[in-house]
Amino acid sequence: MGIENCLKVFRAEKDITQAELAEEVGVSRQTVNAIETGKYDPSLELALKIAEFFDAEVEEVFSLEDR
Amino acid sequence: MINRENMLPARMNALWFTYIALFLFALLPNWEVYLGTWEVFGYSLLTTMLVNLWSIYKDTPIMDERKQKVATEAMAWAFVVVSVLLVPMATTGAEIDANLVRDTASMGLWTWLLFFSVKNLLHKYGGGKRK
Repeated sequence: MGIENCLKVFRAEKDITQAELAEEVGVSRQTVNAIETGKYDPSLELALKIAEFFDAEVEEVFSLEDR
Repeated sequence: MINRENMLPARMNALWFTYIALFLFALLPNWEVYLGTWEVFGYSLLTTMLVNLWSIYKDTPIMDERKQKVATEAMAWAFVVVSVLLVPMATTGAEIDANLVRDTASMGLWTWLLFFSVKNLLHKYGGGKRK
């Protein structure tokens, strides 16, 4: 079972680029892209940082994939 | 601006140190450059420190968590390859000399590099989700 996310939606609502988000949470743009495309699951710390940046709960940004 | 948070964690420093040391020991002799033990360790330590300096002066770390994960996976595969190579050496009674160690270490280094490169290329150009 993997992890889904709606990072792209949150980014669009806040009108920021992957690079800008990456700088805010302290990772590379490639990592943000990898998270959005489902190629990489972030660590708990990074997931919390991303959720905090968007002023949202972690469960609103990330969720378990439906089986 | 200095970002101390961008300093590499201990595991990544150990990885950089190890692989620079292996590179200096295993690959430089191909170009007729032979370094002594303390020279290898000294240059490896210096390179690791320079990598950290480079990272703390950047806005984002040079090895963020994803790259650290890929580097660690590559290290694991390199270890597997080297271990598998050691079995025929041990069972055939091959004489372990510096050249044999160099060649084995080279294989490990190239395995690491290939894994790291292919994984990053797949991320960049590979289509669809990994799951």
